[in-house]
Amino acid sequence: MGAFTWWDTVVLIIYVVGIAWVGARFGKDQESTQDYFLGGRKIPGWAIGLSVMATQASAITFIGAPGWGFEGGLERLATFINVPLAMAVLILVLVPVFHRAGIYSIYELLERRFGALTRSLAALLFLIARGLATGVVLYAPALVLSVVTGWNVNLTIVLMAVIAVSYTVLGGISAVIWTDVIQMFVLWLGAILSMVLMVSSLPGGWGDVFEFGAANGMFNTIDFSLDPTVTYSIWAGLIGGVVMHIAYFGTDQSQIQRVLTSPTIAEGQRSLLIGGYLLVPQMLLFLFIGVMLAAYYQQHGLTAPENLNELFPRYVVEAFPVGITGLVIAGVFAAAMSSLDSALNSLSAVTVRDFYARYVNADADERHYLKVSRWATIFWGLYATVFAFFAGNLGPVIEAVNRIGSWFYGALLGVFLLAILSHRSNGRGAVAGIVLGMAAVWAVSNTDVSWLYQNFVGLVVSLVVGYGVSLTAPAPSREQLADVVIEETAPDMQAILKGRSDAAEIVGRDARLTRWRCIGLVVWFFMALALLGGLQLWANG
Amino acid sequence: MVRLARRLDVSAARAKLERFGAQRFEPAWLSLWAVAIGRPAQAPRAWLMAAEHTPRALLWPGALPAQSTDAEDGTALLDGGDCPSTAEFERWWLWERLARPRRWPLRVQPQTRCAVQLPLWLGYRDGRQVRLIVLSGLSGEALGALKPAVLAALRENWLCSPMRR
Repeated sequence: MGAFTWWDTVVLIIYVVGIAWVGARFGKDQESTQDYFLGGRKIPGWAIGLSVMATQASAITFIGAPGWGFEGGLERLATFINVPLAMAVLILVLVPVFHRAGIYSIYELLERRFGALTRSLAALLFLIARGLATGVVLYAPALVLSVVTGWNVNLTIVLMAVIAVSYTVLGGISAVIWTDVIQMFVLWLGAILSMVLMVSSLPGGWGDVFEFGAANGMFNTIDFSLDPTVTYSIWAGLIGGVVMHIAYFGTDQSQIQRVLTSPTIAEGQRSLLIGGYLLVPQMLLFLFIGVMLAAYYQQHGLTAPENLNELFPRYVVEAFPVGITGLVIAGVFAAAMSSLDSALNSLSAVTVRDFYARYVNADADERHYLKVSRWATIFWGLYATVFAFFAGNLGPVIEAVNRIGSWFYGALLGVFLLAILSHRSNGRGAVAGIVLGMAAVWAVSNTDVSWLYQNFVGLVVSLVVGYGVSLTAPAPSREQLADVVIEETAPDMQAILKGRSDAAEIVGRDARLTRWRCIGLVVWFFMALALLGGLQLWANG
Repeated sequence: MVRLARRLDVSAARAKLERFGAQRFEPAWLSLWAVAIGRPAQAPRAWLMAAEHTPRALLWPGALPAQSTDAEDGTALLDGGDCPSTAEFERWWLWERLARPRRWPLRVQPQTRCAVQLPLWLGYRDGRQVRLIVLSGLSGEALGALKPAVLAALRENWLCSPMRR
């Protein structure tokens, strides 16, 4: 114990090479059973669920959340408590429209609805925002490498960028369900083992942790303050956070791509459902580790590192048994690589599809587009690298990625909701909504108002301005509304469907799957809230 | 014309559609156009299926599971529309690979283009308005992307029906 030994290095190398080999060896088989449209399913649902979680439980969570919890306890959970509600809205409102439209890039919907300018503007915002966030994702494994080796973090950023861009350009690690499942177990093993080790090193065990947490207000999750400058109040989480998560999971191509490439609505919903149920407990787990680390540091009279992102990797290296350290650090590495691979791929795909093939060269052959997509990957790798140098100054990485998103997400979600919910809005209104929505976010970001509210401000301004300005231009045509107006509701179509329905065979009792799924998510939200409220009441006597 | 085998039987379709809130249901076939994905002179690795009214192509791995066209007489036959051009199929295949960058060496094989009939189950959910649920007869999954094609074909069938005249 106490250092990253050569045994750990061997485990790390074997793990990373093994994951890459499994991906290359079994990726092809998976394509025929899981990826392809209409394919038969042979992989159990729980494995698919863990795979979805593995893409969410990135290195960012592993590294950032404990540092975040160390600093502020469980109050930061207010940022994520809204995720079940956000997923319910996505499942009900956005996913059915995206699926019916049959789009590959989410921004295509905006072109069909509002015109090319809106599509390009929204895609550009995505590229800027996701490129910056990718810089933070790149910083996370570089920091781990720096902690493990003692090298300068800027050097490890460049090293990680070269590795990530190289394998993405070469085709990436195939996202095989079973490697994701292994990854998930390794990360959770790391989390649980760290809890066990920390508790066993404290004289009073769990009692010390709860006593420390209660005495230092670390279990005060629910703050009902209406003051907008309180960063993590329950209202900031519910009003701003829910907008942020709807936008993040629904209008960010890197996230919604999984849903767009799902063959069916049900499969797209499944990944959102799993996130809706598991993201809050997972975040609670890693924030709680932060609370435990705070108790551990206090009891052992240790001084925390200046950069709290280093807190948990340092603990893993210092406290874990030889070999297990290597395994957990390798898990963090592989998770970071998987996140980087998918982020760089989505950045490159949007660059090619929404810009290059749209404006520069519309009729090139596939080889040409492949070459362009590789250069785009390299470009975005460089862009992320430059930003990664500054990521260390942004505080806990998990807050940094969400803050970056909050500059863009409100206005982006606003324009998508205008497209879907308002049949009067048009291209002029959409562009005005995005521009003024962003301007409003910029104005609010210069005040003391919680950054979570920025999302809500961007949404409201883009919706109100977008609708108002739309009234100054003609209403959209029937063709422009084709993706968002359900054709089956037209009177003549209703007559046809009624006639067919009357002649068709009776199914049986009514059970609305989607409705039940959404109700389940709302119930889950209230259960999580009640649990945290109970903990807070206990902590405050 | 290749009619794809219906793998989801009546009882399984009934159970699936019940979960989606459908009160009534019926089988149907949707005519589409298929083109193989693979290398020249080799067995197709997958098939892309699309038609005039589908917003993007469906992807079917391996060989097409064909069955006799005599089966299930009387089932509604829906016309998906004209055949998309080879260029459209090639572009769809490009976007599929950009979305999931794999299988770059495989190409659309235009000479393999053929008409296919995809088995479907159509569910009807009554309420303030009648809603249509399109279920794949192959996998049993709901295929929202096929709704525009199915609705267009239902309208076409109705316009051509003797009752209408």
